[in-house]
Amino acid sequence: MKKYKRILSGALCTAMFLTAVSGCGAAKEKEAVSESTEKKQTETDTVTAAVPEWESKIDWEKIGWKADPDNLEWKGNTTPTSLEYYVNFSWFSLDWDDKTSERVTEKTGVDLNLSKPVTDDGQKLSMMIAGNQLPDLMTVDKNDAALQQMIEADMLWSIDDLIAEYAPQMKDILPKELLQNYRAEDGKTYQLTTWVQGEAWQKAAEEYNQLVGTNQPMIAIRSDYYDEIGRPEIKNIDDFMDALKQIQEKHPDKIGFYPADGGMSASNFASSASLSYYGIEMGLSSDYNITEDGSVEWVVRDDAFKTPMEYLNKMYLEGLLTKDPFVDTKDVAKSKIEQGDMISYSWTISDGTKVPADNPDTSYEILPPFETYKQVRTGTGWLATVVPKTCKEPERAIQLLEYMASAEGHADISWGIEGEEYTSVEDGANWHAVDGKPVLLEGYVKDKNADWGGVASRDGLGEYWLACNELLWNLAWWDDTNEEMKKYNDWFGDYVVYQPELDIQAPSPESEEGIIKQKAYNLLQEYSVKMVFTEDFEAAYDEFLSKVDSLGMDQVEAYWTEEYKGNMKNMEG
Amino acid sequence: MKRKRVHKLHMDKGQWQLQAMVLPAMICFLIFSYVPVMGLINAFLDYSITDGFFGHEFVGLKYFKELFSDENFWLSMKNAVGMSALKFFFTFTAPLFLAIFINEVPYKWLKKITQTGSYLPHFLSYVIVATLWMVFLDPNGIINEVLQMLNLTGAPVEFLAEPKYFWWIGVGIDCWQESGWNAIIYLAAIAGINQDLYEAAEVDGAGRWKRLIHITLPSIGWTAGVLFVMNCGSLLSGGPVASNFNQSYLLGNAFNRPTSYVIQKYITDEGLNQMRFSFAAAGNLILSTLSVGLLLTANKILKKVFGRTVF
Repeated sequence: MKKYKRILSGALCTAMFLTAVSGCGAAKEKEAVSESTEKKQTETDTVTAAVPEWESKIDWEKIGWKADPDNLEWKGNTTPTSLEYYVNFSWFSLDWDDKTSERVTEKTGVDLNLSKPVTDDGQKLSMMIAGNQLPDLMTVDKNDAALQQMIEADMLWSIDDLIAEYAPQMKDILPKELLQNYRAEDGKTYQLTTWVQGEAWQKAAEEYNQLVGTNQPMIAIRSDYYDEIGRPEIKNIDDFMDALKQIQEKHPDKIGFYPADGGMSASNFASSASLSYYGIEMGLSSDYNITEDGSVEWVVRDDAFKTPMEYLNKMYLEGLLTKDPFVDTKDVAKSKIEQGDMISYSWTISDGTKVPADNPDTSYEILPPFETYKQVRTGTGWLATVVPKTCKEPERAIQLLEYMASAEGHADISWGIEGEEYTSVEDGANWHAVDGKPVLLEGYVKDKNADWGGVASRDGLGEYWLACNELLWNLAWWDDTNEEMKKYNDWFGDYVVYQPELDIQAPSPESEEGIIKQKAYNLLQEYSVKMVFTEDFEAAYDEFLSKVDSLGMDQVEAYWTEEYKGNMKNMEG
Repeated sequence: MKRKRVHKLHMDKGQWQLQAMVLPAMICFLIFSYVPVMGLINAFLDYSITDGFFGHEFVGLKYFKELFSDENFWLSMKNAVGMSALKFFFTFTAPLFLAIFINEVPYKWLKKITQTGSYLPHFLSYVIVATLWMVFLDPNGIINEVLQMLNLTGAPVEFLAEPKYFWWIGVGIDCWQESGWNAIIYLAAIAGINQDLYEAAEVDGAGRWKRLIHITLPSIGWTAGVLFVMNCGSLLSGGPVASNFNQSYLLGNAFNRPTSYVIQKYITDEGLNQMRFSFAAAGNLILSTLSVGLLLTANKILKKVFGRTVF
């Protein structure tokens, strides 16, 4: 008995020890597995070698884009291989094991071994950089500080070089901004930026009434209350406040105006002075003010910032604005709207027609934009895909990106299977050409809208954004027959301005400018509420400005001006 | 009450398997808790993630000077110490009272309900806890409604928009969330008291109060002492549940910033989020040094009171 006990405890102890150190061996094992799958693939690939040529009945001229050249370089080498791909987002839900990835692997021969972090605190990426263990391909936020650091440390391949060497024709299928506006100091481009709304996109979007989408900022007002006061026309903030005052006299327990988009939260002020969606209604939508001599100053110095702040203060003094939006999280804000606690709120079109719980017969309605409405968009994209120098096969990596950036790639990865009849999520078909434009099949749209994420995890469509060109990506989703969106495009479309030069690179946080900038925004955070909730706005504003000056903000502004001029030079070509 | 010192490490023959069981845990500790401590050296170096792990330039006290000259550092330090001190007192005593209270409840079913109900909040994620309290503390929330019903306040109190309430909100949430859970330890200690003592005391004519003062409390004194030392170690991060950062991050806003901005939030904002790892390491080194100091002091105090120490 005693002997058994001893053996048992010895075994248990060994087992515990092995579990503790087993983490170290995991990487090797994985390699072995991927090797064996590779082998399998070679076997199956010889069976299904023939990939049908992609033909489309799309009228490229009308869309304002161009068809793929016949012999893109990726077609020249489709022998099976496997690349490590890292997406720096824990919420990315797919794993390259769905119908779309199968299709792509079959066509190009490239299988991706996809990995992502556990949380979005940047730790995993930092560790990979520190240990110089980057994958073959990687997608990060284009504004991630780590991206700049990798470029400066020469850890990435220049995309231009790779294109010139392995995929010269890729140049012709990329939006022209991609290799022009994102050049680093040495004149080379190190990132393939995605979701760019460049010139081609803007033109097509106007043609198909897509400039304004459901995420367009707006102000909504409660219809029943608005009716009560006889629906006076609201053209600017003064009309708006008058209407709110009239309503509040009848409904004193309601909050007058509630910026519900999270734009008044402390964390927002810690990174932006643009007052979010309310700011856009007031003509303020950038932190940078371009002065007459072409230099950049922080917008807080200008009336563009001062006026909307002053009106917030006025609204507070008149009892129209409470402290709630500066305290609540978005979830709490949403529940307050749904309870009907407020007369009006700012948010986006898709959230502009909520039904308040205390009167199910009415709803909020979207107000036409103020005369002052102005939305500056940079249209400079969201994510950046990069090829680290650790990449085993840079040739295949860039050629995969070439395929993904092509019209054919977009059709495979975002639109789905071409055909006339929708049978199931897995088998499609998903789209057909109507009047020269891809249009999604009704059955698929219905299924997709019913379970967006669920369908995505089964068919893998619309999720692998490695080389997403927003124009092609969403083309099949564009529906210019929607009367309501047409109306909103008429309302808001003219107030949208594209200024890619205002996408100004932030100073490195370690630099003197970076530290001053951080302190200045801390100050803004502190003074945001001091300026709004005060009896004497001018005094608070002046105090804020003098503190900004004493920090040495002009140094940061000089840096911004430099960057801005660099952007302008890049854009000129 | 002096104990005889054990001089020889005496181990029974054939006991090595049992002793070895602690090895995996020790190795884990070594790898994941002790090796990373060496990273604190980066507080004195100009660390950049793109330059590998070693060979960074030595910059001396540069980051400490920057920290000490930043008024936000002092603000966040003041808040961390202030809020932690309050929490330390209340979250240390509340479970003790709760445990004694639960122990004195005469009905078993009531005892069970009280105990289960009081430790349930412990299992909630902090994001949920914070959102719940944000709703409770709203000007139209349940707490204001109750206060107004009882005519304690006229206009609704804007709890989260007034700096003066924040520390107390933090203390309140901690007590609500963790008292029940921590009371379990005391309840276990109470359950271990020899029942004969109570019977003998009862025979001698001691009432409930006398029994509590002279039997229960002295018997669980050592348990409280151990918890006291452990709490001191985590004092600066917000007492036993280290909630300072969560509260600052989730309930802090521009209004209550003067009292809600704590050192852990400061290190995150100005250090980690800016990828300024040396700066963050410097902040952490200060924090760790203070915490170790507190821990050692607490242990000394214990020695004075009980004549023995935790470690």
